[in-house]
Amino acid sequence: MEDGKLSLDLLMGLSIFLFTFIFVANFLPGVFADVRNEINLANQAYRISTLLVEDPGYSSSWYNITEDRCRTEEFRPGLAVYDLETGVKYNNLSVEKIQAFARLLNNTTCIERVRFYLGLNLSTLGGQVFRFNVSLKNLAGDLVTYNRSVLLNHGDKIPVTQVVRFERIVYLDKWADNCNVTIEGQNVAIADRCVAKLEVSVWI
Amino acid sequence: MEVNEKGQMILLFAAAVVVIILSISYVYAQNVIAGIESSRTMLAFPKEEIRNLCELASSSSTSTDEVVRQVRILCAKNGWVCNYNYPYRVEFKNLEVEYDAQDCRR
Amino acid sequence: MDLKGQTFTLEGVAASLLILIATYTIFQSTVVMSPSWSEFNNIQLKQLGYDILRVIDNPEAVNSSLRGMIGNLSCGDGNYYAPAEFSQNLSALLNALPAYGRVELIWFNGSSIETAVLFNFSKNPTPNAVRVSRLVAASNDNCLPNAKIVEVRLTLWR
Repeated sequence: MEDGKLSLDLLMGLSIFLFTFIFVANFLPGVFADVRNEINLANQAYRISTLLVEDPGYSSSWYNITEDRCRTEEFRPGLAVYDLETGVKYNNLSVEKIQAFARLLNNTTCIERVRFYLGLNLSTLGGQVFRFNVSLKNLAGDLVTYNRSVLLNHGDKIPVTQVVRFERIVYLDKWADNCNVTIEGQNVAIADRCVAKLEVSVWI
Repeated sequence: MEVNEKGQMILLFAAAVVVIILSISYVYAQNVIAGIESSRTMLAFPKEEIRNLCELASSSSTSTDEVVRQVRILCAKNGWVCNYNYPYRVEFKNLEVEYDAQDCRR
Repeated sequence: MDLKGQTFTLEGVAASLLILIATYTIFQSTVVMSPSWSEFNNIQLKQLGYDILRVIDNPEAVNSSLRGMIGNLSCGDGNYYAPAEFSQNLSALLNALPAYGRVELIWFNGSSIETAVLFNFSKNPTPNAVRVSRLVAASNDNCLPNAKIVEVRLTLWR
């Protein structure tokens, strides 16, 4: 046993040193965590787009919440129209709700509440915080305007790092200024509806 | 007779390395399986098909016997078992999901 | 000081470092298998397909909706022609995605299931195309005999 080429105590000492070194490195925030959590971006983008397009939101009058009440009230944004008889009208977005959503996202406190209620702020659970941007464009790629002001192009500013985007085709419950398409020189509404594209971008 | 005790360290470390490799591959395999399963669930639930049936079940004109029969046949061609009744009662079954609702709006 | 055996010491250091880093990486890593990038593109295209079918299924529109298309279908020589309004609308929608599409109608004619392809949307899809379908309650006694409900199947690819 004493004829070993490496001394046992040397290896033990080195292993303990390396273990300690790696544990200390693990405590430095963000260095190892960022790389892992970018896998989640696609899931979050899909989830947020589905939540906005197929859910009317909670409570049924969440769009009446003003900027000063957003800190105290519990709500979840959702843009789909809710019909009392037939229920949720999927992919049919209410302009009133879109305007309320844009208003909330414009306010610096309210956007953090919206981020929390959309489930993109997991810091209290020891997880990631995601940034997001939502925009509504017509089929030509221009932002949809209603009464000459942009309906929805709000959220955090889109960066140059990796951003995942999910798109949905939707139609509005009121006629916007530019939802028609030009087909053979004529202004046409697809299927007699104001069809638009909702884009949800999510990044860390 | 003298026992030759040389080379014990090498064998000991070789055994340790084998144990480490086995445990690492076990953990890695668990990660792979969990990853595959969690990615499939996004595509697996037939959300749109069930909503389609719900919309058909919401009106009595599309819930007549003949329409329901044709829907059942067309579903069967896709490998699903579906049935619906007016109002709002929907049943849908495919390879992965079994859905049965008295009120499909909920 | 005895300077012998330094290489062996260095070998030991390297070996322990290697094993420790490998163990740590494996135990702390998430396997990048869920969902893969190509699968995400499929999910996006499939959801867009469902959205398209839902949006153009307007019970009130006359010629440009799915119901109107099925009701005003014209056929001859084994070809099925959708009304021009519908074809233009759907082409505009597909161009905006952008994606190519193929539209098939499937119905039950009383004894067997029949399939028809729309003339303007009859390109052959690539192997990575996605398929979505929607059941539309419409009938066309001329071209789709005995059908009370038609499955519209949209195949999308990029």
